[in-house]
Amino acid sequence: MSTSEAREPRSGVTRRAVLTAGGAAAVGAVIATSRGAGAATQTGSIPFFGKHQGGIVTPAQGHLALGVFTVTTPDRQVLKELLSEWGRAARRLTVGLPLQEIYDGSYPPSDTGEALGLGAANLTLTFGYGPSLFDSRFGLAARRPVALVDLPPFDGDELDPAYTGGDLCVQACADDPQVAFHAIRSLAQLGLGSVELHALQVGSGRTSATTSDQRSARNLLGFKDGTNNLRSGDDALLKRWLWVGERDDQRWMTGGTYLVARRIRMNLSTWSSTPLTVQESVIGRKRDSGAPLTGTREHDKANFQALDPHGFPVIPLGAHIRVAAPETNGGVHLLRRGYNFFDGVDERTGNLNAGLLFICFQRDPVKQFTALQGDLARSDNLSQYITHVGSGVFACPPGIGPNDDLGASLFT
Amino acid sequence: MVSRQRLRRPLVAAIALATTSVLLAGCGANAHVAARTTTTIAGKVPSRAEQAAALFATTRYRRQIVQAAEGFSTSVNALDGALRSGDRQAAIKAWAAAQGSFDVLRPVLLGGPASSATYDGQLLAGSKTKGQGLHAIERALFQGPLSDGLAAMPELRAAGPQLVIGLFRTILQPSAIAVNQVHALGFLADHVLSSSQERVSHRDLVDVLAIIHAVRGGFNALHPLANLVDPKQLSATSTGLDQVDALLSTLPPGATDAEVPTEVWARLGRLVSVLQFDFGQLAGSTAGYSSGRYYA
Ligand code: HEM
Repeated sequence: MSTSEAREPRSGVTRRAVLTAGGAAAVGAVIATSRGAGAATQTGSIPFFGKHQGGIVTPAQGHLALGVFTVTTPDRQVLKELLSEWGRAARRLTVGLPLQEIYDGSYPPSDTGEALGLGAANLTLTFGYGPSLFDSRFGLAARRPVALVDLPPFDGDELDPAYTGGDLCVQACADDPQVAFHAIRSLAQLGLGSVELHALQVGSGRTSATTSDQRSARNLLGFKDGTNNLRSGDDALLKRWLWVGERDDQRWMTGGTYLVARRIRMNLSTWSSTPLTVQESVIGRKRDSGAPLTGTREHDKANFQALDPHGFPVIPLGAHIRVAAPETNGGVHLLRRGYNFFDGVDERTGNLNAGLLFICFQRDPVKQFTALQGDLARSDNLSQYITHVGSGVFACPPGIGPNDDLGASLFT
Repeated sequence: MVSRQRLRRPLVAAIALATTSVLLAGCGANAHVAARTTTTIAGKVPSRAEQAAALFATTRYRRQIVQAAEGFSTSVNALDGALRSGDRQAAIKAWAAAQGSFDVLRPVLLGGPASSATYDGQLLAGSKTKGQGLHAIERALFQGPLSDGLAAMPELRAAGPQLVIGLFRTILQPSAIAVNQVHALGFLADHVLSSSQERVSHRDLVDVLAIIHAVRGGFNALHPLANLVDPKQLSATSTGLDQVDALLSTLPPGATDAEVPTEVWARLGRLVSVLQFDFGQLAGSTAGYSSGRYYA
């Protein structure tokens, strides 16, 4: 027997048992203890329960593991149970507890162990349902929100099916990459036989700030990213542009939001050979300070009307921030929460395979992401330096309370 | 108020705008490049020889662009005829020629520092997901019934003469010409050679040769000026281009992808990265030189 001091009863021990019968009580107890001590929250845990799911307006962590799953079971009840089980697992993982604490050494351990001792590392788990979940398989067609449709093709897209689509997604963000990876691996393990991991995308280095006290980080183009982002304190804007409202078509989504994920490869060797002034004109901001070309400090407001002495716009017409800004795009805002990725070397060209795992949240992906990306694909000068190679859209239900089951609102 | 009329504007308007910003690229692509180039040449009056070389670059590159536009127009008409008469071989030949001309035009129409015509260039290039442009033709020629290609023809046919008229006034200054070569090579690396590319015609060599030919043209245009202002970098760039040519000359003409050894693609990819760096350096050393019109 390894770590286990006490053996679980053999009968009825299944891979999942720890999170159901006796496991549930234990989870409650452990959560209560860590909360009671106040230590876990203080030292890096973000509550799993709440009005909204974590991982959206909570402070963006340093690392991402984005798991996208295909549901393989045809059985609605099995899917429902799996989601509840994932919810129970999420409670444990987000306070830094392993899936199981009492091991029977004659079985393979339920918890794979790689996050033992790493703590919660501010892990958040954000669950989402893809449009395909609402097909004929599970009787959910009538519950599909109108805003949840596959994204249309955009100019320049070169989507790889391996990074596109998916029935379910789980965005795991944490301050420690191994904690984020462990969470997705654990959920995949719990779902064996019912779901398959379609893609696991790993991102390192946040490219956004989601709270006013977070500083902007840099993307792999070297520019500050997330300067002009929706943030947790912008209540009126969040209500208007982020959270699904009571009057939107599906009540079960009230307080939820939609996640759009795009894997965007950067053509880094072209970018690195482009003069700095051209790079800055492509973005519309200065590289080092992050200031708009019409200002001197990062948070100076961009002046899109300013003209140079020749009568041309100081922030060029095709500059990324001009095309993307609410002032010029009909007011659309997004909450961006992306991560850098680096994934080896292209075997044919020797170029780095790296870029941005662009993730954004919004109240209506059709009116927000799709509208904006349509403009960017046509007019953004940055398009020449990037290629969208993966895509997905998911409905993220609202958060749950301690007595709720994850997924229950979808099925009732 | 600066509007965003760039979206979906007609091609001629797009080119006019492209040309305007190209003109602006006389001092760089925009105000910020202008600001920098002004600094670069502050206090230094270009010599007569430098001015003449800058003028040469501009006019020579313009000629290359206009010839490509004319070539594009002619090939597209030939393509149309071949598609209509169901002559696949003639259609493939005409498509390859049109593609070659478009490869010269691409950095001007799409994404170069002076480009303002993103949408229209995209339309001509076509996208993988939409039945448009040269990409749709390629698919029809190599994967589908020939008749599929006809749907994409009206836009391509209309574009030819418009490009010739619109690009006639192109004035790209030397630094911008160098950046265009960075872009052309970037397209080659990321969209032709990259292992993630979907292969349709299995004739990447058509694109490779056309792009390298176009880049050689840009290099020739820059040659006299670079020789005056940065001979060392000129020579490095020249060596890089020669290495690419030497590598490509080992291949049988008209080779399909399968006939090109994997190591050749890999070697080419690496040479292209170095060339991108070289042209990036040339963009720096030629910044601030213009055809003369923009020195106050
Ligand atoms: C590799 C791809 C991308 C890169 C490198 C990139 C980079 C940047 C940078 C450096 C900024 C300026 C700083 C800031 O305000 O955050 C910015 C702003 C912005 N980007 Fe992107 N971006 C990318 C893709 C996208 C996409 C796909 C969208 C949406 C469809 C988008 C939407 C925005 C928005 C809304 C802003 C703020 C504009 C403003 O109000 O000033 N970006 N991006």
